[in-house]
Amino acid sequence: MEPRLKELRFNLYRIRNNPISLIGLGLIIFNIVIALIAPVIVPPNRPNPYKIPKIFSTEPLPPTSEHPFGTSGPSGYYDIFYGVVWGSRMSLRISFTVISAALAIGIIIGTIAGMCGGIIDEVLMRTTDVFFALPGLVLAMAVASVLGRTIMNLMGALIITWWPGFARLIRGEVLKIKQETYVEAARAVGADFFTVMFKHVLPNAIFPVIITASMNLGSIVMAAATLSFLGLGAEPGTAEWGAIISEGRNWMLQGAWWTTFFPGMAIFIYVLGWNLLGDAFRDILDPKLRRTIL
Amino acid sequence: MTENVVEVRDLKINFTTYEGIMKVLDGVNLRIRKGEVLGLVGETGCGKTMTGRAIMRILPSNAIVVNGEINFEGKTELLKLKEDEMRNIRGKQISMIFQEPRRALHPTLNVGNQISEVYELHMKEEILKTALKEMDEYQGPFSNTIRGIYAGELEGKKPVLKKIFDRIPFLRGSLNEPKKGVLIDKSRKMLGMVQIPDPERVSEQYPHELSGGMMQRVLISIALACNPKLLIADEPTTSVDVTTQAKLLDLIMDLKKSYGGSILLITHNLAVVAETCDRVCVMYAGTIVEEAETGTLFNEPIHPYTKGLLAAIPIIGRKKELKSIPGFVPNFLNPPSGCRFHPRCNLAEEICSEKKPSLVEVEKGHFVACHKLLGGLDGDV
Repeated sequence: MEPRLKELRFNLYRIRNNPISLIGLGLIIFNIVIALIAPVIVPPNRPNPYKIPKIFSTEPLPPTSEHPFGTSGPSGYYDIFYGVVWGSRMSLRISFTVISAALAIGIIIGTIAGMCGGIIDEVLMRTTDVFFALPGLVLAMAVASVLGRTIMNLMGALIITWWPGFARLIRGEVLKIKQETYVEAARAVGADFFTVMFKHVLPNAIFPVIITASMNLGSIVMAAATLSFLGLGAEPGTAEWGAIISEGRNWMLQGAWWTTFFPGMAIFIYVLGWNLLGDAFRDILDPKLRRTIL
Repeated sequence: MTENVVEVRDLKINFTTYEGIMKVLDGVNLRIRKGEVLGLVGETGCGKTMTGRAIMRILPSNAIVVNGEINFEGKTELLKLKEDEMRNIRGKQISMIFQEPRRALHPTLNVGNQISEVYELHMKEEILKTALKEMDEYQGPFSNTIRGIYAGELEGKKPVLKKIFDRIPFLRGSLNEPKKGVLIDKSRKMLGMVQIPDPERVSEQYPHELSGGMMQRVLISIALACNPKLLIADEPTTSVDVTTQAKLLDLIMDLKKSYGGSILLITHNLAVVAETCDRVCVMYAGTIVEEAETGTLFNEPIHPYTKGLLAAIPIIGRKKELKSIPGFVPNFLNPPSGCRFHPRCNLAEEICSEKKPSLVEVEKGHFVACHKLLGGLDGDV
């Protein structure tokens, strides 16, 4: 236990001393706090808080004290501030749901393929290749347009696009670890297939996938916003940043800059935060780079 | 006549590779008697390790056993066993020490856990019984429930409560607590047996915190945890320095005396062989070329390859030039016809490239596979 605590303390020290990671961490914490206290900032719309309440109006209004970020339309005019605040909750929800589901599918399929080998590997990996053959965004668009415009379907489309990467990554790691002598040694003391898989191979193969997954948390929101912007994700009037921008682009050329600026900034902060943190983490956890400072 | 622990008969193994079929083992015959130390020597890449692995049945995925039998204790045919029957033999009846200790230990599990794994796999009943006995004196939360679950497991049932307990993190811990205590005790005792100082501390440590010699000791303790009938030691001392090497060999031999199993010592170090082995098999390019008692082999070698190997040992004080065997171990994709040694043999004649010599008993317990043995009077072949 003691070496692990020491390791953790060392990692925290590295995070504290890395300005980039601090900025990233700050942005993410800011986002999470906003998401947590969203009901305090703006009272939720009942029954569905992710549906932005409608305002009677005929054109987008510039920022005022009543509507700090202005209003936008035209699918029934609404307050952008509400959308941005509740959108941060939505973004966290989307990124964590999609990542964990894609991770689960990817790890299961990749591990089975890597461990079993032979025909099972061939079938599973060629299936994965089918998903790889289509550009990610195009595939997500196709799936989303078939399923229809709801948040659940948006997440479903992203999961379908995202898992093959994880599956392939973990399969490669499993194949590598499977060759190690200690896995053979485990077989030599009489461990069965599942013990070898869960106790000896998986714990050593899983780290690169976990790191990649955490670095992808930002790009998931980017992809979700893109789909919404193209009109394939969340319905207009949903508290989702991409959907708000999508509607705002009609007004932007007429001088209503606030319709795209505020949700755009929200996406920018969120994605930048995760990317900075991911980069910093990669540097901190890289054993080749890490000890040079001390 | 002592019994054989393992008898390998005419074992042929091929590797399928992109370049073609590699005939790695070409009719290996091997007998390991009860309680003896058999040395298996030969150059790098001549199939020593493959023979060891074939006995354990942990061959690479592209290996195909073409022919042969491996008989365990005169009754069990290892190559015909089902995978789960084989699992009961591995680690319990036959175990293996690997070449590089640094790579043969799980990097993210501590030493104690790695040793307990063997007990968990092969001595479940004993562990459960000991745990039950210990729990009689101890009363804690859930202890009655846990006792019930263990008793159920002992009877071979899978109690429903265990399934439920296993799902819930906190309860799972307390369910395994008594069992874990026994396992840790046992693994510490084992670490003490292999003369590791301070077993309490070492059992908590991870492989990267140990030295090479210590790691090899841990591996030895894993291999000997269940008192196997045969220990396959695959170059156990190659990666450590000479003093550690001597200590490790002494340790292995001492432990062998106390538990009374047999050892197959795979090595290319003839000094180690002379020191420890009762009998020696010399292997060349996938076949056994000579088999004899250690003394006989070192004093009266017959096969030209054995002679060459012995001539290549440097001896301090000798003025003569050190001789090496010309050439290399042949390519297994396209091995030489007949006797596989003939391209490197200075006694080779026509028959050597045509017919494969079989192992012939020249005197009691001394087998040689060579057409030229006894001055070329090889009538049998």
